Amino acid sequence: MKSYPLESVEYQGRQYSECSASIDEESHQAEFLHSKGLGSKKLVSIGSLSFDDRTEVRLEGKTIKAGPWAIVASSETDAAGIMKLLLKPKETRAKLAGEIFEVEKSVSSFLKLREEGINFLIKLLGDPRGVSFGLSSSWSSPNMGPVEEFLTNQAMNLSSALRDINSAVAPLVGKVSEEKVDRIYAFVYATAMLQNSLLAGGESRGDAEGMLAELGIRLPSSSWVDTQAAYASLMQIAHPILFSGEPPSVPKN
Amino acid sequence: MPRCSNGHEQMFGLKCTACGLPLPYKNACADLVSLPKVLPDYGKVSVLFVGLQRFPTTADYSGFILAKDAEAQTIDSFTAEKTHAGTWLDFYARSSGDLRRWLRLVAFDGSRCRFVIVDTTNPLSVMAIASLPLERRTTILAVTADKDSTPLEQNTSYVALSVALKRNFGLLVFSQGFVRDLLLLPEGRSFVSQTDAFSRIVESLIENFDAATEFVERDLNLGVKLHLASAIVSGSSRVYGKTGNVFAAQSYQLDIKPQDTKTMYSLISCEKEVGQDFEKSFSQFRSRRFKAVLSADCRVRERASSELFDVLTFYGVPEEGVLETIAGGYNEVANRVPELKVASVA
Repeated sequence: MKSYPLESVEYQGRQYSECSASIDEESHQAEFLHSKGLGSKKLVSIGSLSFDDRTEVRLEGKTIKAGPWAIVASSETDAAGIMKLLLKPKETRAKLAGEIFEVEKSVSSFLKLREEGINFLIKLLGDPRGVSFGLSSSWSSPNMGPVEEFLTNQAMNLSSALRDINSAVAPLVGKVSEEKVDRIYAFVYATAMLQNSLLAGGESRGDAEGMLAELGIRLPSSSWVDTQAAYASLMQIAHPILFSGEPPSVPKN
Repeated sequence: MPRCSNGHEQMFGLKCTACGLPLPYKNACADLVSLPKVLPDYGKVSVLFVGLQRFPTTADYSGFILAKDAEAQTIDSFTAEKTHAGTWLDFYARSSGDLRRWLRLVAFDGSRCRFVIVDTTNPLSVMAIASLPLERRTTILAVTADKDSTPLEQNTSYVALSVALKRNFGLLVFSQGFVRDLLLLPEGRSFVSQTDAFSRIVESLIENFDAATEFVERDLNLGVKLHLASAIVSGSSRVYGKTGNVFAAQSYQLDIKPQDTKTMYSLISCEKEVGQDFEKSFSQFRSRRFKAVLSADCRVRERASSELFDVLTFYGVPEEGVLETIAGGYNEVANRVPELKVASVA
């Protein structure tokens, strides 16, 4: 709870002087008080404001307009302090949206990278020598063959991409439910199994699709798996389901 | 694989089917960094032609090593840049690293067995043999210099053969003279060129790749690396009479001495009716002429109805004998240019 002396408060057409504000940043409640009479030390409540991320808040000099309230702080420094508290829900939500964006970005990158790897393997099975020879410009290791080197690098990149997912998910813990966090990994796993099924002649595809369905994610069509170039785009379909009730993801500034 | 807190493993699903607890997937995602294991099929047979005119084969992969004005690499050819001097040492010193890399890029060692068809009088041959991956089931079919070849050809051939032997490859050797004199009358009844005839021999070998490789590998285990080879392509009973005469003609052609012969093998392609005849004749011929050989075997491959047959026979012999016939030219060149010696090849 923080208190600030105020020069004045205007609320519902009435002007109050010798006021103060008590702001609880946990419960997002602000109470405005004023002296009962001239020279009186007794404070009475004018009213309170419940603020959240949708509350309109504006600062003009020392004056803050928050919903139906217009308050004049005793200094510009105090005005900035009050503004900061009132804007906190908006900032928290924006921060969460940014964090969700980072999770989705990292999941998409992981799935895209994995998709490239699966496509590589599909090509390798169809034309092993053509694929191997196609690596001539990138192959550099004397200890590994070109295909082996590519797959080793791919595993390293995937490992790094998975670490990125873990790092991106970490800030969400405590902010969204544990179940939601688990569902992110379940989504990654099921989608990867769907990718694997392309190699195994469709084996386990039904199980992977079933698991996505259990998560509430339905593929746009049954042929989608074979035709869709970017598995990463599945994240867009998954977003409203995995993060229902959470803010839409936005890039961090 | 995901595992619930009671330790039950389950491939899919959000809840454990055994106890109903949620399945956490975070740890299971660690398995996803390895892509599924796949076994690409590089085919049964790879063939590499060195210094020979290219001709089509039924092998799963055919590559060619040649020399031209500019270096180039494609999936089926390695072109080394021609040098002014043009000795085997020039190619070996300049291009063997690139060739080794190319052979890995085209996964020459990926197939179940490999044949290298090489003209050892060609200056590319030493570089090619020295760059081959050291894999079992690699057989070198070598056309070698003979007494009529120039000293430089003999020198090149001598070094190529020595390098192949040193690297423990199994060798089937045709002399340059044998290939030069090749002429055959195939089913169309008209004579075909020397190259076409040689290509028929190679094709016969590729068709019988499993047996050929098995025989060569068996001999490597017996310490026999070098074989003198003879082939009759599109032979007929009207020319040879009894099937036994085919083996006699081949041993006569190669001037094979029973006391020098360690092993003998034949690969026969013929119509079903004469297959047993060939097997019997091979056995009789061995008992009569080559009783003391360490190993002898023949394989008959049935072919569609045809009176004509192909017989590829090879005899395991001591290496020294073959090298001796071309040692004169080798030494003559090596005495003038000391670098052109076997020792120059690492």
